[in-house]
Amino acid sequence: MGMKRLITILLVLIFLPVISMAASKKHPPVQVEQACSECHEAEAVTWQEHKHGLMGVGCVVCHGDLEKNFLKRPGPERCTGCHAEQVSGRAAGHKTKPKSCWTCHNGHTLLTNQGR
Amino acid sequence: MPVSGAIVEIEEGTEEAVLSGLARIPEVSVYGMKENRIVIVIDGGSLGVIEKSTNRIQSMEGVTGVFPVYSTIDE
Amino acid sequence: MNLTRRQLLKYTAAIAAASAIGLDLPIPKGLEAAAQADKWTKGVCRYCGAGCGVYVGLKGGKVVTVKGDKDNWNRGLLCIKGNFLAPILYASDRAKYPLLKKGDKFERISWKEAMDLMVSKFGESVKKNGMDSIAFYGSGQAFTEESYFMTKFFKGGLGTNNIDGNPRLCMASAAVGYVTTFGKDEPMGAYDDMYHADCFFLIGSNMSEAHPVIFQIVNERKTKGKDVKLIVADPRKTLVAKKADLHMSFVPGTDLAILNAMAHVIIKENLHNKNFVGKHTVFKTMVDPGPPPKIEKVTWDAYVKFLDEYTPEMAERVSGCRKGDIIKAARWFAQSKATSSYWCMGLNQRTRGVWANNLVHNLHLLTGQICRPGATTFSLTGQPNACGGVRDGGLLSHLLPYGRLIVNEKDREEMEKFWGVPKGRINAKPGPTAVEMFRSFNKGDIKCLWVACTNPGQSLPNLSPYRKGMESKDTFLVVSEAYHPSRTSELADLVLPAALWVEKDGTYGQSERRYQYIEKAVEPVAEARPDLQVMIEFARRLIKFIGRDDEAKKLFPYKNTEDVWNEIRLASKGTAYDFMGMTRARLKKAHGMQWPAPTEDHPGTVRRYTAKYGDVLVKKFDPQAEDISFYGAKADGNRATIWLRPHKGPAEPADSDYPFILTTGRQLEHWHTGTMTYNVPELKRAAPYGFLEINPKDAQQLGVKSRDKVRITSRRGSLVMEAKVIDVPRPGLVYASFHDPDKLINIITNDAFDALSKQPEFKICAVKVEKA
Repeated sequence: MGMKRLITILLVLIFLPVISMAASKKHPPVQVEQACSECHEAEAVTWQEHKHGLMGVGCVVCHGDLEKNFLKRPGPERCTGCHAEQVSGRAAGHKTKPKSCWTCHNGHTLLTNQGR
Repeated sequence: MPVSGAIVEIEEGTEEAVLSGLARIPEVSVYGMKENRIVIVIDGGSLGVIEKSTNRIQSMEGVTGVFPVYSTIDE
Repeated sequence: MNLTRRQLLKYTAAIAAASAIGLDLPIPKGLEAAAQADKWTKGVCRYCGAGCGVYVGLKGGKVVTVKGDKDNWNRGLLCIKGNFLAPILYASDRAKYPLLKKGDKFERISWKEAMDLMVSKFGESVKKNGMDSIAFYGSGQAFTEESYFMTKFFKGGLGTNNIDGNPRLCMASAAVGYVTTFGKDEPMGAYDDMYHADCFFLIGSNMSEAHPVIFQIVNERKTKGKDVKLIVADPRKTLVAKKADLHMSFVPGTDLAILNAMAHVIIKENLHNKNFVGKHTVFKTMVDPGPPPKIEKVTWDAYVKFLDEYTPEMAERVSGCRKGDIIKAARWFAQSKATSSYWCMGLNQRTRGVWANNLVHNLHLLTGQICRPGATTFSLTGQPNACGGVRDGGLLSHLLPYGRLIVNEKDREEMEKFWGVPKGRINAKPGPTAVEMFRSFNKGDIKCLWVACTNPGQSLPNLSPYRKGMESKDTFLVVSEAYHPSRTSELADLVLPAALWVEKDGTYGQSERRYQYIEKAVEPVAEARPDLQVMIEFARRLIKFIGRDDEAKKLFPYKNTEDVWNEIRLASKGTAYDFMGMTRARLKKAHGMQWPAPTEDHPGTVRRYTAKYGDVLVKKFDPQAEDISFYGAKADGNRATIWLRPHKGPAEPADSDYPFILTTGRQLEHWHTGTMTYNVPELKRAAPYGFLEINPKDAQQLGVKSRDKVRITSRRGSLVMEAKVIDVPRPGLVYASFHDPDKLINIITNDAFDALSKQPEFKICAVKVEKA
């Protein structure tokens, strides 16, 4: 039993840097007047052409303010404001509760393969 | 109870069907997807359960392979 | 990150697998978002007049998140501002303690000292200089219970009408527009109409940025509906204008000509509904502006003759809007199965705001596009409780609660009886309106002013003289604010820290007559107090100070907000608002309820003035009516008025010295004077500061490119701003938002106001722009 525990701890320790590295990824400093689209033009254009961009859901909603909180890959909690039912698995088509919205909702179009 | 991380490789266009199939297996959680490879974790009651789940996934329509990448044994 | 050991192991396994295929996984902040909060309370967004229902998520006694209410009209959706409500409560500049200005500095004092001082200052002034030497300036963001209380306290308790509110700056023209056309204020339609309209006519509204969740519904209807037309009349190419089937651009201030021309086309092409006009309308014109204005009833023929000169050609000459567009708009408006109009500040913040409102109503009355699903004339409200608290509750200086007027003797007597005050207590003369009130304060005629829940030090037009007046040592200014410093609290003599949003409970009433209850979720920060608590203490003590001991307790027996709400319901009983049936218990369970709701088993009214679509008051006030009745206009036989309003331009058009027009307005990421939104890191990042929009053609002539500093000057002030060169404002127009506390654009704007509504013309003033 002791051996199994040791192996577990070792494996966890090996992967912990991976987890913490991903968590502490910082966004390079930006000037106050710079817009996200200046460096991220492709993503910004895609976003603006699809529903969320058109409805005024800014980059900050998913990615944070870049300083106090920055999320390179946001988690489902960023979607709760408008999509609480889907996030909690109560809405139709969301009962499988995948760990991440991006399993089905891709990139910056946020469309699934069925175009939803 | 053992925990196993694995990659499920699928044929193009079968994503929807495979994901629904995976959803029906209680021990399986889907964590992400890149191109035609799905990242899953099998949280089994025993190594036997993990083996059974792996086989079940392998035989699903559209699945070309299941590749365990990481396993740990918890108390 | 409070993961269990098991969750950590699972996640470790997933990361290992994911890294094998080069996939980045997100870090789970609690694996299920809903687990962030361990308790939820029901409420309403703190921001705009759309009034989205929200659930407020608490963890460890703190508000940590919000989610949209899926069972409310907004279907669980929020805009970017509503999404980030939690941080506003915990901003570092929350006002924590009462502060007294000593010299140039603020000193912390106790609540006892603050209230003692306030009572003695106001009380002494009343004794020495009379009841009208004190005043209160309230807000469309205060709860209904707070606004109703102050109305009763000042008008019924003290007997002064020196009480007005910031909706004078945003909704007064819409209110007077509804009253002059239909006899009573407030829209008769609902958001539900958007799901049924075949034609949307938007004028003076940037729905995509000012009411984004409402825009969602319009956009959806346009996308999903069959052959749904969207007409947008706006001098700017806003996002909603870009989505329009017809974008009518025109010189700011010339829209009255366009609206009359549309009526002209409708009549000339025989597209009007003769039956409807004959049954449900009268015609009026103003023969003398007075005051008071002298009105005369005229005939249909007189109206047709009046419209003769408003040809599409004339309107094109006056406005720059293509005559083909005017004709198309008129035809679509009249011939669509159901047409709904939506407008906001573009029509209201004008010296002819009331007339502009009347002319939109005219089109609906002319064509019968009213009082059925998808057909309605709908004013969008800016603030979350301008309707509920200030317009309906009667806070404005010419109003009494629930459709009653100061000038009406019968209404005064009714309220005197209801409030249990002596006959003749209520002053028969309407009080000063917002701009007039601050002018009086400047002069020193008003010596003591209490400002609560609003920021006139940033939001008044022609700001400079009013800031100077507020700062003066000769008068006493008390400011109740949740943040300090705000551009107003910095000028105050006494700052009272106020509880914010869900730190107190109360009622909000939004644009579509939906009243909603906000639960208290958390305790106020530090020593902040709910405004109602402060108001009750101040009222009791001041009434006692002026020698009316018996009234002090009798008038204000309330122990909590529900006590006030129960009295409010009674005040509405029997009126056109009648929401006697909206008990606090029902509002707690419901996802808002639309008045009228006269009994406790009444579900609320989606559409007013139509018996067929469920307004029970039609039968009550107009038993002879078959279906439609404008029962608010009893004196006109329950008929609405089609007004003969001539075209008149703005108070300060562009000229050779000041060749540009400045329009101010809103921006998606911020709300009003930014005290809340600039405290949200994400919103600040998305929109860090105010800038001046300049059309590329104008920019080229000025030699200006984006990010250059420019100086904008009017006859009233000058400001340096960063330019944003963008094809949004039409040539000759520059645009800035009013949100940035460091860019006081209102030192530029004009405080000329509408003669009927007293609402200032924020939308139009003449400026010159040069490279700085």
